[in-house]
This record gives sequence, C-alpha cells and structure tokens, in this order.
Amino acid sequence: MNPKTDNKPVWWGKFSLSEDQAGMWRIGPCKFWVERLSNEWRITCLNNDDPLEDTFEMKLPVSPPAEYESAAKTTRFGMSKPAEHVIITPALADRSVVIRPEIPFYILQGQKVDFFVDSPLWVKIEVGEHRVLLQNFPVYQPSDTWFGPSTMEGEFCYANRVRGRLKLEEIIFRPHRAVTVVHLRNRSEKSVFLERLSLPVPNLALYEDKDGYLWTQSVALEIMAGDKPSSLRFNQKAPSESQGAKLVCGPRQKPEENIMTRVMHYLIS
Amino acid sequence: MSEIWSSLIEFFTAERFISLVRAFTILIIGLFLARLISTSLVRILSKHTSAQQSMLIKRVSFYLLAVLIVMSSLKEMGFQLGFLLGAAGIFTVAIGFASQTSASNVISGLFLIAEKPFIVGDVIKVGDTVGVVLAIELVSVKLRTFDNALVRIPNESIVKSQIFNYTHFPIRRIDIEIGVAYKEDIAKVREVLMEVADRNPLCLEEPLPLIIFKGYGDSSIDLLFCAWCKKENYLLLVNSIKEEVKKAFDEKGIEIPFPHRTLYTGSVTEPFPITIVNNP
Repeated sequence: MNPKTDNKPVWWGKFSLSEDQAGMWRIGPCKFWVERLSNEWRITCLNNDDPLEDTFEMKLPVSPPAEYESAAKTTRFGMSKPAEHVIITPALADRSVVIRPEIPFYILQGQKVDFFVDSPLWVKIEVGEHRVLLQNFPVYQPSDTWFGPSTMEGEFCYANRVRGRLKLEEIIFRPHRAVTVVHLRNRSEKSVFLERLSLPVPNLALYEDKDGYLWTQSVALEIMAGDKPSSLRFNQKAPSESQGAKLVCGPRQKPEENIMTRVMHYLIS
Repeated sequence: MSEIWSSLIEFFTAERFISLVRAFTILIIGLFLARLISTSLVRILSKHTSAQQSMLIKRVSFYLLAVLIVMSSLKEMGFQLGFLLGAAGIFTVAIGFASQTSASNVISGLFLIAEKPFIVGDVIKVGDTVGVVLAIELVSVKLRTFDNALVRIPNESIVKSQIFNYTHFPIRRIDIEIGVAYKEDIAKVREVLMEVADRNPLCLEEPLPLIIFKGYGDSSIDLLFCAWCKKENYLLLVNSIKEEVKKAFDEKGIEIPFPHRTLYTGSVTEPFPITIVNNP
C-alpha cells in the first residue's frame, strides 16, 4: 500500500518513511506533510478557504520543503527513536453534523424518503506499532452550530456546508467527505417539515467503495405516531448504494443505548 | 528514691490519670474517624452534589462529629456537661452580638449554596468586578479577575447585589455596534455581514446572526450585529469578527464614517474659501 500508484483518491493506510523523509498529502482544502527526523515527527498543515475544493494528491516519499508558507502550522513530536511507520486514517466529525436539504421539504404521513448527505472528514495520524496518536484534525474546520429547541437547551454540532439531496446522482463525491444515506419514514398522523437534520456521525463507521470514495453505514430515522419518540437505527453494514464497500474504520464512539429514543427535536427541526 | 517510685506508680495507676488517657484517646481517634467519615461522605455523595455542596457537607459533618467527640472526651475527664453547656450558651450569645456580620455572611453563604446562581469556574460580574469563581465558601466568594487579582466578596454583599453569570448557558451572543455611511445600500451591508459570520468557524450558524437597524445617527446609520458562539470562544470571536468586518467593508468599499459636523457660518463670520476646478 506504499506508495499508491492508481488514481483512486485513497489517502489512508500504513506508510513507511526513512529518516529525513516526508510524505505530502493534499486532500481537498487541506495540504499536510508528515516528516520523520532523527528524534522527532513533524506535521505541517496548510488550509485554504474553499471547503469544497476537491483536489487530491499524495507524494511519498518526498524531501521536506526547505521552508513552508507562512500560513502553514507545524507541530513537533519528540521521540527517542521514531517508529518507521505512519498510519493515516480517515475519521468522521467528533460531534453531530447538522444538514439542511437543498430546499426544505415535507415528509407526508406514511411516506418513506431517502435523503443523501455528505459530511466532512478528519485526518488521524498515528505512528508505530502501538499506534501512538499524533494528531487528529479536520480537513476543513466546519462552523459550529447549535441544535436544540432554545438557546438554553440543545447540543453543539457542526454545520454542514453541503446541502442534502433527494437523489444520489446529485451528490458530488469528494476525497475529503463521506456520504451517508438517511432513510426517513414518517409514521405519524401529520406531515413533517424537514428543514434541518442532526446526523450523529461520531457513531458511524467508514467504508471504502470500489472507486476509493468513502461512505458511512446508512441510518434509518422513523418519526412515530402520537407521543412515541422518534427512533434512530444504524445499519451494521455499508449501504447497498455503495455496491459492496469495505470497512475502513469503526465509529469514534459506540452508539448510546438511548439513541433509539432520542427526542425528535434533537434530530429534526 | 523508692518513695518517688511509689508515688509515680500511684500517680499512673490513679483513676484520674486513666480517665485522662481515655479522654485523649477518644479525642485523637474520634477526630481521626470524624475526618475519615466526612471525607467518605463527600466521596459517596460527590456524583449528586456540586463542589460547594460537597464542601458544606464535609465541614458540617466534621464539626458536628467533632463537637460530640469533644463533649464525650470532656465527660470522660470528669467535667459536668450541664454547666459547660450553660457557659457555652452565654458565650455564644456574647459572640453572636459581636459577630453579626459574620453570621449574616454564613447565612447568605447557605442561601447561595442552595440557590446556586453560579458554580466554581463560572465567569460572573458582581458590582463592577468581573472574574472567574475560584471558591464559594461559607463566609465569602473568591474571584480571580482577568488581570489575575484575587477578589474576596462577602456573601452578604453578593446576596444583596445583582449578579451576571456569563457562563451559565452553553452559548453566548456578542453584540457589535456598527455605523455605516448614509450613502451605503443597507441590503448590501447585511449581505456582507452575514458572509463574515458564515466564514468565521467560531460563529454559530444557528441561532442565526441578527442585524438590527438601530437608527439614524449623527454621522452614520447605526446597526447592531449580533452573532452567537460557544461560551468558551467568546473572546476569540469578539476579536476575530471585528477585524473581519473591517476587512470585508474595506474590500467591498463600504464606508465606516467619522463623525460629521456641518458648520453654519452666520453673517458675522468670514465666508469659506472656495476653489473652482475646471474639469476638462
């Protein structure tokens, strides 16, 4: 797996670096270098302002640049004997992501709708056999947002830059975003207006499809009749739309037991 | 020599000495146990109580046990507790008159702990003092101001004053007063401000930023730009967003005017000099 020669935008894996060598990754708006020196690892990140840029480049091994751009941020990790391997893993956000549809819509009573969304990825950099975590950073820092019934009650989430779609064909696959299929079902007696949806991405696993793009397992949200709380279920495998995608990494957090009974206004508004 | 020896033996075997040893043993072991019990009590209840409630439970339980231990120890020494309690009552009344303020602070402290308007770590404003709460004690509350000074405020003053707790709720709103020139298109100004908020990752997307038309000022149209953030990011956002607004206005050519004054020259004053420029 070291180095990649095909055109798939696969930027994760286990890579070996000799002393004084570096690897360079450019994933959408984020460009980063990982350098192995005699007694330290050095990570330098550079971000641009366009969250939707979908460039992909990976060079390994390369000589580290003599001087980085002034906007680049370098972090150093001292070690007596730096390990030979660096492991790069994609991860989903560490908080739920709030997604808005392109145009808000009603889910009529008794109807089922498939909603396609893509959310931003984080990069996890680990070294050595024991996978010592050096850094875990977003490819693009998403905006914070608040999701709840009032300014006193609710939870912090990230706001998604990309709007959700009702057709999979309208989703643009990018190397730094993962696609989720949300099956919405309205079992209540009245139509539900979907303006925003909070997707608990820390509970989702990542899968790689045959083209090297990332998916999460699908999520089923049922809006129940009467006073019954909505239920949220995570499928245990890649969605059928991904055509046999393979597991890349598990969820950040194990789903809470009470996620099945989360109050509806925490999921939809 | 033998007399001394025998009198020593007599002294150490006398009932008074034995009761003295017993009293000291009760005192030492008792106080140690009281400390242990009060600490364990706090540890057991820590999940259900705040830091200041734990502190109160620890102190009250320790002092109650300590009073019981001292009383049993005195009884062991042969003191008449009835007389002692009578004397203590008179003493308490005397002390009470002398320490009215302290007593009032203690009672206010109990109210503060029960009411919980703030907890340790909150940023509050009492009077003109703004700081982080370091400790809520029975007599006073200790604050650390942002220039790193320690401020001790008696509980009585806190109970009587208005308190602003800036970190009670998870999110906060920052209000920025902005003046733009009368010639500017307000719709465009709104658009630019919303873009600035949208681009700043610290600014919450929801609740939506708010732009209020405050009025027609002397030299500018006055707007109030309100953006929400996580309480921890308040200062970061205040700093960054003000800079970004200035930068965005400069880029879009939106003028932030200086105060304007129109001078009236009455008939007494000299006329203003006028230069006529011939345009080609």
